[in-house]
Amino acid sequence: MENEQNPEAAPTHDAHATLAAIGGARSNAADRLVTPWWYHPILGLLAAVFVVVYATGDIVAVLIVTVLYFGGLGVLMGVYKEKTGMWINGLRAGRASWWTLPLVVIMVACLGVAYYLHAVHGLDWPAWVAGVVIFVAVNFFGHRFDVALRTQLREQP
Amino acid sequence: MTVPTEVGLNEVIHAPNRLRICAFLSTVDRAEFSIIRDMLGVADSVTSKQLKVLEDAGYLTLTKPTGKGRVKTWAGLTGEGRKAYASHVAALKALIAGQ
Repeated sequence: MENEQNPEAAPTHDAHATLAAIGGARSNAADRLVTPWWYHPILGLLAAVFVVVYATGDIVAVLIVTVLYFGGLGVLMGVYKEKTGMWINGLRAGRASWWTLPLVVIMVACLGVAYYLHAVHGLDWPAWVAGVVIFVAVNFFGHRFDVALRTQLREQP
Repeated sequence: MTVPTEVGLNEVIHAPNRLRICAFLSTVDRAEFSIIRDMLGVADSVTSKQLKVLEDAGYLTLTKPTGKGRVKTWAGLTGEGRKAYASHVAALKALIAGQ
């Protein structure tokens, strides 16, 4: 039996077993990283409301929605951590993060376009379209991220 | 018997439970104590001891966020811990490749 305080050199069969143990721990994490069904819809709604109000609202409305948005994110994160007992930063998840980057780009682009069209041309409807696009994007890319992350974790180390 | 350094294995991480902790935590930013304990399938005291060893080596940070309700302990690998774990895994693979 291996001594935990003074480990012996690992012959190759032990190295195989060790890598298998690592794979087991990673698979365990993959099994536990199940996003609650309500997580992405609520996140999408928060993001959508933020974009709509930011693009069309006055300074007071923007301040209020900003506080609500980041406060809502904090609550969402807290509930996720409480439920799963884990937390992973979507931008630091290896290859799976590739699914997070387009979401960031879409959000910035939608916000920028909606804000411009409202500020320069007085149009409100682009903000609502942006909100819908962001809601859908959060749910789509969020789900893809989850699938990619779990697949990545179940790969051999 | 200590691990020959030329093998490149990290003797702190190499111990089975600590290795599994590092492997598990390498996949996330942080995890709660009970999740780590359940993953290992060992008692609280054993889990605590292993986490403490990793923390003392500078590979792991333990935090206890304040708030209402029972205080929970959260663990996360440090940058140094992630590098040490990655080096350890690379050394294991090199060992296999060299057979």
